[in-house]
Amino acid sequence: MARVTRRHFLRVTAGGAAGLGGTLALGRAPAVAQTRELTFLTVASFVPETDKELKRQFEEWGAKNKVKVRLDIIAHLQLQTKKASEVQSRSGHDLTALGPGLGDADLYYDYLADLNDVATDVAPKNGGWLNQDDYLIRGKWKLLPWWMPPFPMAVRTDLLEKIGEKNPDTWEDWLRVGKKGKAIGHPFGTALGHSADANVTMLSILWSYGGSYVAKDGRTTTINSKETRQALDFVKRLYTEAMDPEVLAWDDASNNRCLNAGKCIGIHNPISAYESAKKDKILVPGTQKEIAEVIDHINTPRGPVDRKATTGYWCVGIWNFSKNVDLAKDFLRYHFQPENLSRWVEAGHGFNMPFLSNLTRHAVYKSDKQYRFIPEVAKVSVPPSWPGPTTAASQQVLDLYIIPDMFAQHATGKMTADQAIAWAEKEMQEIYAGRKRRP
Amino acid sequence: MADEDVARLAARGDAETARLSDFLVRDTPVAYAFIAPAFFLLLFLVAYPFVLSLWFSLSDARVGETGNFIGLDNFARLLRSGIFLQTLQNSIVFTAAALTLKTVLGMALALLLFRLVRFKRLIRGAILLPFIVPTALSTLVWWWMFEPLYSVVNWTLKNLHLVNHDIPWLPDPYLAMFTVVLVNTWRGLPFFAITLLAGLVAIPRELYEAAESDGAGPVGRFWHVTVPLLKPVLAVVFLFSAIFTLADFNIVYVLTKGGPMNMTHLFATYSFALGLQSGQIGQGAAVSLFLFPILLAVVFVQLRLVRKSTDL
Amino acid sequence: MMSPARRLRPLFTLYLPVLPFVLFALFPLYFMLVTSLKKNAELYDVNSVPFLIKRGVTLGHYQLLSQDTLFWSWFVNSLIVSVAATVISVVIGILAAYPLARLRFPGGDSFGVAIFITYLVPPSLLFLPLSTVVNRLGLSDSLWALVVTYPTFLVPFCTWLLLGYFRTVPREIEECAMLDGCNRLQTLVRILLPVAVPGVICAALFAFTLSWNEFLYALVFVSPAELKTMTVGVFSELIRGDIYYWGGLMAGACIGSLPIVVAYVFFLDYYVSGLTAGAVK
Repeated sequence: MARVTRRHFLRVTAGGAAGLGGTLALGRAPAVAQTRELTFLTVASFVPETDKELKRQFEEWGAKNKVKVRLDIIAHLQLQTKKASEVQSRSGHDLTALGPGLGDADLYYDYLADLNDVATDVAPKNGGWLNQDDYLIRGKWKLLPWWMPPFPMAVRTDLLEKIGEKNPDTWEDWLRVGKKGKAIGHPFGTALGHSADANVTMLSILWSYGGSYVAKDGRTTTINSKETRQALDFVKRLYTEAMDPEVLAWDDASNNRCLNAGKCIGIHNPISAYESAKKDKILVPGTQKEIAEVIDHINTPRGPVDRKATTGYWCVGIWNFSKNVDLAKDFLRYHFQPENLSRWVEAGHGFNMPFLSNLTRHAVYKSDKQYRFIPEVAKVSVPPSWPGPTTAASQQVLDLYIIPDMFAQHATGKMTADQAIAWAEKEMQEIYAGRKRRP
Repeated sequence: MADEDVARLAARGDAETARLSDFLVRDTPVAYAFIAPAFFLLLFLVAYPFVLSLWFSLSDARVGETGNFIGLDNFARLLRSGIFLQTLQNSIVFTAAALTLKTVLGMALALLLFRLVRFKRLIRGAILLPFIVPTALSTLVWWWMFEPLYSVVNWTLKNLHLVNHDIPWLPDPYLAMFTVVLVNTWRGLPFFAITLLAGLVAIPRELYEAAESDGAGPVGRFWHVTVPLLKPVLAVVFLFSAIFTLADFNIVYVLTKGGPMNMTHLFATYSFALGLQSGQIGQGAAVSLFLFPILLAVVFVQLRLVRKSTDL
Repeated sequence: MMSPARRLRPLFTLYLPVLPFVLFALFPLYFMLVTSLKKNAELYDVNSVPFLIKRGVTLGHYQLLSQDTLFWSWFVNSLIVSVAATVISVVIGILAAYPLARLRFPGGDSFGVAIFITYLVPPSLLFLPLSTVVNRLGLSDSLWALVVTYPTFLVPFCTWLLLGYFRTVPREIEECAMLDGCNRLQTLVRILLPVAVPGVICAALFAFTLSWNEFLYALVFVSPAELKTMTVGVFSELIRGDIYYWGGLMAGACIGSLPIVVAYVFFLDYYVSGLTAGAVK
């Protein structure tokens, strides 16, 4: 009897497994009967209307071309995880956002479709790309640079007046402003922790002082220099005299909060803080005045050597394992048409600035006095790997926050300038050595 | 073996009892049939990814490419990296501190919960809540509680006049470590407390009564009755928690992202930054699996403890 | 006849020491609730009192969540996935725990260890090769992907728990049943399980909690907006760039915890006694 039951049991199990297998198999629609479908993965935009406009354009194009479209949105922090799994399993979406750096495209170079044709198609009608060479990965168009949030300086005009300062323009000016502000409880604030903002501002300072971390060849580390020491020195003074220690733990949203809560006198940030202050009608603490009215945005600061900034370079690419590469290219051409792109920029109040000349002169930047410097900032913005080309190694330097850590370690006194530089140099050399292209 | 055999055996009486119980314990084909679903699940969905992960750590794989075998190169490189050594130290400190807190506080709480009479269900339920709330979201709450500007912790301390300026919970490296340990303890304490409570409930009263009549006071009873009998439970919970605490990702990722200055990076977060964000899967895997041999031994010991007392 | 002093003793030696633990456990959750009901203006005002709502309670965050996002779809998705994964894992766990608890067979010990191997490789690494498998099975972008992959980390734990619990049930009743002519399966289902119900409920509760809280696989294997699970959905809608919609996030956390809280309140006693037997041996 036991034997019978065992056999019976095994039969049932096997039958169940077969049934499950069958169900799973059926879950996949037969390829023959499908309509054309296109999927696009992107990150949640700071301004929700941007996403809505993109969705509208996508669906409009889909209707015109009889293609079923799907726009999937995820938080930007999760994009890398998702991309890795799509590449690993060679399947996923057709179009994908890439970012926040161009480095992704070097990392996934072998999996991205060539976009030379689309790039040359969309440029002329839009006044040409801002800086074509910046966007080439190993000399090829593997992505279309899509948008960036330029980083001006957001400042509290009322507090500036209070401390008797006007139009700070150099980093030294800002240190002075921050010092005076800190004395009345309104320090300057810029992230020195593990966040994208920290990378942007620290690189900005480094370059403004003439330093750099990689050479033009994109392989030699150049962090060990006199200029770097000057920059290190400056940041140490900035940290101790003009900022509060909390900046060591700031994430990307912290500076927004600092400004909007009325604490910080100035932050290096895109217009997102101002926009949310306006939307939520945030008041200056202790008054009934809207804080948005006393915020102004001015140019990113200059250092002794140069005025340079960087930002997140958000791009869009097409996976070459997608079955709809041509369809995807077609949509990209559609989206990058001047009217569509213009509408999309407008939906985002200009927060998303495309890399095309005509769009940097979009009417939205003249609509509000606040945005008058944005095109200026865009002009001096370069990719984070400057002066070298974007590579996976330069991206890794950013991902591991080597630069902010170097500055923080010196600013807090944990390391001397020489030690900090030596540490950063060693870490970077390891990264670049590990990335040597395989023969 | 068919029913006639069973009947025959039963009929033979005591002399055959050994053979009978042997029959009841040995039933290999049935055993295999029963574990078959689990076995196949693990084979298809765990074995392959697991082996691939091991391979990653021994290769220079990047996302999407399998890479070439490079032996222990990844591990050697890690040992040369300042950030990794800091991570190693952080992980040890974090796990040791969190486990100690959870064990000591868990034990204390279990003892208290054991003696509750009124509001028993309510209090036990309340204690269990931190474990129930979705981790990703509860960690966000903690972050908001320590956020430099709005920190409710600082607000409370200042208003109770215990401090007069904001404490830099997250910016200061040592306080940051304290904070992540605190949050991990908050989340893991219920598991310890309730499991130890369950163990306490299982200890027969007679043993306590016997000890008391032997003249043992509360402390004596604790050391000579409670602790020895709780040892198996404690060992299992401790070892289980050790594995999960060591592999913690979410808390550090949300609160500090490994900062400030890499002082709170744990294996999982560093592996994420190295492997996933930078695409160096081989190195990321090496970080994740660095303690694998030790953990394997830990699991082995744990399993032994669970299957130990036995007629098996 | 107890003197008033003696009656009050437990208050000091028992309830007073328990209080800090209860406060410690509940405080963040209270804070979560309060934050979800505060108006934005008060929420972001540095000078406001964090614990209290002075400027009026608002259901705005809950409304935002309910109407402007697909929150309820996500909630239902999480429910479906968690229930399915729990049922599958508990069944497989029962089937796997029985031989480990009662039978001797070659490979028993190795199998026991093998089950736990999953826990040694963190999900943040495991998900990569797993995504290839999921894709080859054609399960990407469907809830099936989760229902199939969640048991990989649920089954080992359920097995361990049930293994321990089964061992506390005296073998005699099973042996009697078998001598009476029951086969293994009947013995398991008709004799052992009814007695082991607390352990099974305990395993089910744990499995449900772990499924409900799972984030990584849900993020990676499922993209379409209407199929997301609750936490993934809340994160992707309410964290935009460098802006966190705190009120909404907390509202999501509150509603999101409700099902499990309800389940636990009902089954708490089973939960504790299930752990008792499961852990002791």
